[in-house]
Amino acid sequence: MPRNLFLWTPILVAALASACSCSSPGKSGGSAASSPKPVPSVVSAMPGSQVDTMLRTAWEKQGVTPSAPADDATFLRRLTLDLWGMLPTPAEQDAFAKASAPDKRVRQIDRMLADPRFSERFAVVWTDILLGEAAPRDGVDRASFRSWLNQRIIDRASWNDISREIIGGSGTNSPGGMIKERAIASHAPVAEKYDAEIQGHVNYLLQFKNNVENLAGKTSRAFLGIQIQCAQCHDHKSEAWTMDQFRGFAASFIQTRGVPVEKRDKGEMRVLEVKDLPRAKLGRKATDGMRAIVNVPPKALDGTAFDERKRRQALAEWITGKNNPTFAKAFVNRTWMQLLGSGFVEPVDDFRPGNKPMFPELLDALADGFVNSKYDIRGLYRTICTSEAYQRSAGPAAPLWSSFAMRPLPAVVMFDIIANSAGLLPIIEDLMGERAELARAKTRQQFVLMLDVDEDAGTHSFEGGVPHALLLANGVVSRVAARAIQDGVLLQIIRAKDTDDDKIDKLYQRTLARHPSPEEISQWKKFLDAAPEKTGADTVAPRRKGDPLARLDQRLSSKAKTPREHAYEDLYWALLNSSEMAFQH
Amino acid sequence: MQSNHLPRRTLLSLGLAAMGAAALRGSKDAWAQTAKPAAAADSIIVLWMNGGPSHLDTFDPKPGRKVMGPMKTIATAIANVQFGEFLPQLAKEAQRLAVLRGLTSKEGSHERAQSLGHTGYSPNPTAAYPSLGSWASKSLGRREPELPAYVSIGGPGGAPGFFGQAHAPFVVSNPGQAPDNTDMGVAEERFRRRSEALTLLEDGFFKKTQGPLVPERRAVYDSAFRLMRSPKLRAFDLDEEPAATVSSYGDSPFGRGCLTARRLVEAGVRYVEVTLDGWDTHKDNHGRIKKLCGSLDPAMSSLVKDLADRKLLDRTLVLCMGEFGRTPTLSSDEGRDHHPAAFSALLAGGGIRAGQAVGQTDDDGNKVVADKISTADLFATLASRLGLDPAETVQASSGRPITLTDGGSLIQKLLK
Repeated sequence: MPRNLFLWTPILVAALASACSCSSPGKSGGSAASSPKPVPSVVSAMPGSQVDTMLRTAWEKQGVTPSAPADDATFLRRLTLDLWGMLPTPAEQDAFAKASAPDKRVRQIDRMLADPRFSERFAVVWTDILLGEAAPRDGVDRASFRSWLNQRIIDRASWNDISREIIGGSGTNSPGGMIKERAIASHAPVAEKYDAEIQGHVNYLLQFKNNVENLAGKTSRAFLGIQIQCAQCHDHKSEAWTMDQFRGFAASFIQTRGVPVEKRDKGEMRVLEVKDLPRAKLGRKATDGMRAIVNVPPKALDGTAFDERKRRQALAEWITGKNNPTFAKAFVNRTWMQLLGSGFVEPVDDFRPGNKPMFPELLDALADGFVNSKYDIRGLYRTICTSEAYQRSAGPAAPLWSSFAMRPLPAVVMFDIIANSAGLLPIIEDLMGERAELARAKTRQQFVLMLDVDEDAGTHSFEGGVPHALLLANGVVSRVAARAIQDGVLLQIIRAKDTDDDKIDKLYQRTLARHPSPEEISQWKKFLDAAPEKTGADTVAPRRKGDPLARLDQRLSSKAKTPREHAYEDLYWALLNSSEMAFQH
Repeated sequence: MQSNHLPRRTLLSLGLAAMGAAALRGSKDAWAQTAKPAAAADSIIVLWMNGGPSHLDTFDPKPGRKVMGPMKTIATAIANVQFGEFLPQLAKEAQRLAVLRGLTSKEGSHERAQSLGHTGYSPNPTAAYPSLGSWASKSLGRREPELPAYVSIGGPGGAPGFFGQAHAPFVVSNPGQAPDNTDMGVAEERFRRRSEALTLLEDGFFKKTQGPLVPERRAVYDSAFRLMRSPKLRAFDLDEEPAATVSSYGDSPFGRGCLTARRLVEAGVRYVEVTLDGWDTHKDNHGRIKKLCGSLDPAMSSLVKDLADRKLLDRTLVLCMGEFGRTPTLSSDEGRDHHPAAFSALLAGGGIRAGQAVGQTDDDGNKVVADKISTADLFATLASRLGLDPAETVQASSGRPITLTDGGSLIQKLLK
């Protein structure tokens, strides 16, 4: 077994829990997955039955036949990927399959929403939304932002409180340290420990380096789902927004500045204190637009004048207020898109009169329920996950969420599930020691750069290119994962005193999170039997600069000896590369 | 009402041209009436000088002025046009070059200016503009079906924006070797068996779900597999090149990148970018310029000569530029800071009138005083040479029409 386990995180614990079940299946039944724990209650944003009634009526009216219900294994995989960003372990799969309570899906949803892995996942997703990949690394501390957000979700803070704090926040953005290390921390499997001295959320305000026009545009898009930024240069051609409205909105940020806290050395993170100066100061880089904004009185989009001395706080209050027409809808719409593949309004951040929502009655009902629940994030998730739409099986595209929309998994999730399936993380830790963090951060980032799709756009087609396929087929992570390496899951499975049926079953559970059908088992047994006696030798990738995982490729060689063991590696490679693995479905 | 099963974005981005792009353009400009121009070049090689090269120390020196510091100047093959002293081979090849001295922009930060230099637009969070290479990939497609349309060597290249990953550059991090992840690490027979096993899984999953994404994804894997086994992959490899050729490009990663670029263009890649990083010379400007020119000078001069010798230069565009110029005033660290108001570039090849300098800066290289060239003008010119319509407009994912160039008109003096 790998050493240094204490360094690893819940993700790993999950991976190990199941890794252990391979060698001692008898003991796995009593793992955390099946032991009932008291779960803090979650209030639904609105009764699931009400959503279902509306959906069914709409389907009927449009003559749509919904797809068949998703089976338990599919549902559990779907839910675990959405709420935790990982696959259910074999132990969790078995426990869920065995559970017989009629409300076991709801119980499972509640249990998963109460788990720290939900706040972790939420923080990662929203750090990406609120601090785009393009945010500079210097002076914008993603790790601190993520850690702050994770803590707020653990605290069960409401979406309006969180939003108000982000828009109106002030204080110090980062504990400092080397930029490189902060970047690594931002890619770590779990959020950094929360530090009450650091106001990680202010990094949101720093990402545009004092360009208030961009900050105003981003704030309106992210929190209100409204794209006012086109009115930055001209009155919006087809929609309501005018340049005056844009400038009045942006004026709320004009006094906000990140002031350096102390001098720093080369390579160190810029530590900044966000505050509002008594008067706007325009730097050398100020745009003409910013000059035009300086003397504009701050106003809400509906014309409400703000107290000029507390303009940014006033804006934060107005955006998150009960009467704001799109604040609740924007979050509902985006969450619905994240869980069901497409939003009521698409793109998700483009609410405007000319872009009518699909099924506005349901959007309104969900938004009202969300407001009435006091913007309870878990409550909204619960409502959507318990709804009819979330229980459908995936199929060809169908209107009104009558079939579950298949879509590529987010890049980071893809990386995590491949690495966890093969049990790679503890092995990397073992082999690379202190450099493991860097190795994992770099590799994860490589996945993000190559695989990430523009989630805001609502993806309906497969967008990955050839480099994407090459990375998954041949990249170091996949190469090593598909080898029967010492301490790896694959070697444990194929060397166990099991029948081929059982081995194939275990490989399916650890990749596709389900059991294979009898036909599939016999198909693979044929495949194994056809393994050629002689194939050539494996090759090792040339050592490349800047790819710390290349060393793993050199060091972690396959222990497979027989043609059949090689055939198992080939089967496992195919499972890892399959659409059933790579898609949410 | 928007339908769930009509992916608006795909529909519009794919089919817009056919659905009346002219109507969208309206009467915006004369381009609206023209179709795609006839291509003067089949391929383009962009040498990207990352960090912002000093125009004074390279292509726009000011002989005898104090702002030159210790840098001397040399004559070039073009009358009355001088270069910095560390570019002797390019100076000799100057009859094949057009020297652009009137570039100007407002973007003074690296990230923003690099984005401008790749997409032709100042960055704006509401639109993910595609880079020119992605436009070439999307609009012109592959020249050679087994090779990518857009390759970036030694740097990330330009982002695909709303065109998506299918039009992102194929990145080569180690020029001279096969690109990353093109070797599965197993023998041919096992590769075949893996592909077979994958087919079984994909077919089974498609049978069960009828999800249209499944065959789409399989098609991308097939293309990846074709690339892995393509003999054309050898275009990335420099083993076949005579040692003399490799050394004429200079013994540097950038030199190997330029030689690879030539091989790729020969093999049918449409758009190649090669990055030379390190031009952000806030300190020790003179010493660092000397070193950087030591990479640039042999590589670019050999590239242009090599292309000409192989009769490829007429159909290949070569551009050398960075994100901005640098301040004429030397700092206390003997460095130069960012200076977007005036900078230079070199152009050569297909459809370009070479052997001239276009544009002029003032006595100290502070401001452009004649023939100002905006990034949009440059992009319109590059696009038209490649056979792209500078006014081509597609619907972005946000639903808004986005035009290939941000206004901009052809730089007439550069056209052949």
